[in-house]
Amino acid sequence: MSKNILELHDVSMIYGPVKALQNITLSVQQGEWLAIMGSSGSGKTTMMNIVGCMNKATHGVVVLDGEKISRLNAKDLTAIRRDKIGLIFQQFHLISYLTAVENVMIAQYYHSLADEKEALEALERVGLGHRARHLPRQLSGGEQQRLCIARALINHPKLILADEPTGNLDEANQETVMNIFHQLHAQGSTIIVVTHSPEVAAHARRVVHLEYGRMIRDEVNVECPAA
Amino acid sequence: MNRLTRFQLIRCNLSRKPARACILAGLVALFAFTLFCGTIIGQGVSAGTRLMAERLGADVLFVPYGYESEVQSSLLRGEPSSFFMDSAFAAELRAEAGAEKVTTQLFIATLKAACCTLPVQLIGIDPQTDFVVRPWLADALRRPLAENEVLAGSKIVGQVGDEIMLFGKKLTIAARLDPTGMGFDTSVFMDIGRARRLLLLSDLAPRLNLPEGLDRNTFVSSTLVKVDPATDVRSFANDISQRYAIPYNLDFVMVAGMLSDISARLQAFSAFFYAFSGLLWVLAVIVLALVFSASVQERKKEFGLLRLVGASRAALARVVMQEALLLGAAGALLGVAAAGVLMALFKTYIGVALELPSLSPGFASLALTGGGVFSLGLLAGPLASLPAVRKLGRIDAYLALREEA
Ligand SMILES: Nc1ncnc2c1ncn2[C@@H]1O[C@H](COP(=O)(O)OP(=O)(O)O)[C@@H](O)[C@H]1O
Ligand SMILES: [Mg+2]
Repeated sequence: MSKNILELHDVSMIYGPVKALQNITLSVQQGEWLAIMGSSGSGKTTMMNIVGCMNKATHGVVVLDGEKISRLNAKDLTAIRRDKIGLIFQQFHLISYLTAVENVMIAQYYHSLADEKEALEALERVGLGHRARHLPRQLSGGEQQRLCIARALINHPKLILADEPTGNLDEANQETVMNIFHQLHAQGSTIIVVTHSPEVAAHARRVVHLEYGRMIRDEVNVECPAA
Repeated sequence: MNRLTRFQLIRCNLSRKPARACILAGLVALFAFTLFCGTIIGQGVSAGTRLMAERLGADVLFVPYGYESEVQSSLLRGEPSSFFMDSAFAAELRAEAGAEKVTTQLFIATLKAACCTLPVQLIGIDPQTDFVVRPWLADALRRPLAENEVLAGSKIVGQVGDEIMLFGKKLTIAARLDPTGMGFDTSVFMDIGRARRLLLLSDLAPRLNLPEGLDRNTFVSSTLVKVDPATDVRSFANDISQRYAIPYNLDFVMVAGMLSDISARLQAFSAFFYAFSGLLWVLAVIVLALVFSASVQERKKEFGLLRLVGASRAALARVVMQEALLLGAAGALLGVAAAGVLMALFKTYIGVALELPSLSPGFASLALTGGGVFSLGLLAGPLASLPAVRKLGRIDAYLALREEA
């Protein structure tokens, strides 16, 4: 039996009157590719932020890689996020005044030690080797997202979290990003992709549906061939 | 770390707003400049006053009534002046109890001398009784000054043996004095009898207003007294001036009093400078704090992002503080350097403008003051960054990004 990389037990997130997440219980195994689907406002980002150690749930228990993170303080959460999680955003969130390779290196720097050679190799893997010295604004949307992926992967995270990774991309670029995800999955990475697009969700082996903060369905994607 | 360092992050941020960085550093520089100048000038004066008594060797100067300030500016700054009294007073003074040493000097203001860029003061000294000038001789002169020989102050151009022209006479430099930090540096000394004759023969004579009844063969400008250690200087001076003021129309200047005048001025001056520097420092810290704070607000997203990629709050605080430290250091260094260069260039001019006797701080005191001022300037940066750092602590990575989205 594979080990659970992530467990949510009865997790809720309440913002005043808004119940962004309600009583979510979910386990994710190592090596799984999971899509979280739901319409806008259904609580996908909220869930991703809790799993990604960016926010703490108001109720419930979250266990990440065997560690109970739901009660940790901000400092420890930062350390866990840095060491175990690779984050990919719809808005890319790159640092505008650093070049592509520097944007990767900054993640290395805060993690352990910046290694330019390794950073360049990471860019190479997402097909950005030739753009290493460019600033984010000199890159296309697809290139920026690939840079974001390279940054997310540089510290060998246990879990890759992507929030609407193709939300700002055209079809061709969406395809490229999905190909990278397939490679990562094939190499054994655990991937959680948040999306409202059925097309993107269709790449995942397992799809969890959210609606008004509740988990309404947890299904295995039969069309998707086993990795 | 390969190419990407915290320093690079800081440099990138500073160079994104070069004008702002320059203004902030400039503020610190202004503070450092003011404090450094003020401190060095203050130190110069206090060192000058402390040394003055030892330098002059005399305790009391007797001068013609009304010339107290003239003798001070002559001795302290070498401003040429001429005034006259009878030397019979010196003879009487020697007989007084408590007078250990008595000598006379004759001040003659020359107009521009061909030898020198500064106006030169000619001082006649009495080689038999002099105890004021002799200690400053650079090399001992073991013979009396010959008729055409002079002693030259340290700022008078010319070597021993060179000739200089004064009152149309060729005079030979017999010896030179060490720097004194006083008016002696721009003075030329000769035998008092010779000086008297030279003066009377020169075309200056009709314009000098020599008092009627002054013995043309013995007049002097001032009588300098060293009081014996057992005698109180002030009561000695009071006693003498009471008994001799009328017949000789004289007044006295206590060297110690002359110095306390300077000290009072020094204290007022220092107080002003320190208050002004303090104000500048506070101002710099406040402005820096406001700007840093605003900049954290501006960079909220960037900091949130750095948090996302794993930067701890402490790491971000270090970025902000080191940025502040860098600005503070640059400013402080600039200010101290500018002040140092300026003081070195305009040392003489500043001394004259502020009526200070000497302004030549040693290397050690320069370095110490420079270091102190630099540290204060340096401190302004991190101190000013504290509110920004506090604000930074409240940045929630997730919320910061959410606002942007
Ligand atoms: N920080 C917050 N404060 C208040 N309400 C929030 C906050 N974050 C999310 N919400 C609310 O929670 C709900 C779920 O939001 P979100 O997780 O961003 O949805 P999704 O990503 O699925 O579009 C929304 O109603 C949203 O307005
Ligand atoms: Mg969302």
